[in-house]
Amino acid sequence: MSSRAWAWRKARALFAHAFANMTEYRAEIAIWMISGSLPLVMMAMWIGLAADGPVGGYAAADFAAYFLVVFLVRQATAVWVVWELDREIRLGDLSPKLLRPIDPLWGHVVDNLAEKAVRLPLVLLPVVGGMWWAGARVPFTVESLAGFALLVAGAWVIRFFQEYATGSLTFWTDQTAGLERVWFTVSVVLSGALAPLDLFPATVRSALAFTPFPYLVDAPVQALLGRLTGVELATALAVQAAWGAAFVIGARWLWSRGLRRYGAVGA
Amino acid sequence: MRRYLRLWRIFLAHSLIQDLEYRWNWWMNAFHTLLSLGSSALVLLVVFTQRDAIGGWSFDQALTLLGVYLLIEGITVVFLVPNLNRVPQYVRRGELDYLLLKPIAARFIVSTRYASVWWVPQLGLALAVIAWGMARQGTATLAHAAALAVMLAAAIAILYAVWFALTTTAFWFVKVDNVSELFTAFFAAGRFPIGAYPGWVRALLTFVVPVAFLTTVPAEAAAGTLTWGWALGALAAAALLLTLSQVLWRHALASYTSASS
Repeated sequence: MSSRAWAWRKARALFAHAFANMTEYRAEIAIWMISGSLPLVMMAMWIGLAADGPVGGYAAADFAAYFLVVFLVRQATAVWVVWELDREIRLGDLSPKLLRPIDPLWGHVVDNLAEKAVRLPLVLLPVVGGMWWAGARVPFTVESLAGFALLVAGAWVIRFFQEYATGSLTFWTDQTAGLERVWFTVSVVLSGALAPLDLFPATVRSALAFTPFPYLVDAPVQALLGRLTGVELATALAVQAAWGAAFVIGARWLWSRGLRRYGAVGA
Repeated sequence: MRRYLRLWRIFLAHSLIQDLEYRWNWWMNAFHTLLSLGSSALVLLVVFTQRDAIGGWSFDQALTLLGVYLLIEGITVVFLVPNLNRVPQYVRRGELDYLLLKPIAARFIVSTRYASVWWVPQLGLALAVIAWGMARQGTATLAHAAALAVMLAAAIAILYAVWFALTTTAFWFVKVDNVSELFTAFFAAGRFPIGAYPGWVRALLTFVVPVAFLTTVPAEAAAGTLTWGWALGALAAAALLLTLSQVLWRHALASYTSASS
């Protein structure tokens, strides 16, 4: 069998196993979904605020549309690999994985994607229902849908490899959980998940344009809602791709350096 | 009673000694709390560039509310999470049996044995924010502080009762490790005054998940806008929920068949 056929076969086996595993955790996944509902709380607050008129160009229906898509994007890009790596490296569970002919990275990637396959159908129902009920207008153009899909995929790459990089720091320190919490707290507000970035002061917005944060939530959301088009969409895609590449390279470099000093615990 | 207080002091001292080993954790928590406060304050600033009030509350009042939120969140992480997240484990592994055999109330030891003391910086910062907010509002008087203390006590009682009742369900559902996540998700709504939310959300946050009593009511006491209705409601809710959680606990123990020999 050619090496590509082998790779495809391995990928399929990994995915089937991960999917079967994740399906067992349906109830837990539902709870984790609910624990990611902060955007919906913010939505209620902003809708309340817009009760007597639009806030910064956003009417109540616009806030509903915005935050429902924020919820969708956050769910579609949910990553937890940092906690897995932290546990595996500190407790030595990594050792058996290193004996396998597949890089542990692929196991984590497939686990995440399989979980999305279980989670996304659960998420789409309330999001689509909510948007229909709120009377949200979504322009279903090729540009907006393609832009949305690419930006969500790019956001996933950034989030996954940022957590992989942070998780790889466990080779050197046991403070990974604290570092991740710090990053998370900062990224939640600066990515536009708590308030549309349009409402932020202009100086803050232009400073953020060079950071990865707006491309995690705000960019895909605005793309789907048809507010990010043409040159601006292309620029967003380019900057996001650059940050994605940076995190991928950084994560892999940290991992390979860390692996060298990994002395198996409990092997 | 004195025995229980002495025991609690010993438990806290033990946790403190353990956590002091990890000095870095304390600094990280202080840093993280500052970031958390900063990002929430940033959202408030964004709101106040567009409107003069949020749910009828001024910026200073909303900031004080944020302080109350951080305080309650901190108390949850320091005192509730390390203890009550272990209950499913006690039930699953039969460790509860050894706790039941001890000559003190099992509920006490389950609730107070551990404490994540390295989150204390968050408590300190939260109190500082509340004090600053009250000073800005001109309500930094003994009367307001006393009202705030009473409402905070009620809030903590309600918080503890709800958490305890949720974790008691471990006796029947065993795998309830994530139930606390559900509470945290609802509690996030406590960042803002409940007047900021649409009507049905306000009702939900008062009668179904009592978040209103956890942050809005104490913040109203700090702002001097607390009405007797809400104050008495908070005290009644605290008494009711504590009683219910105790009833549930007794019921759970009665139906508990040990897992160890």
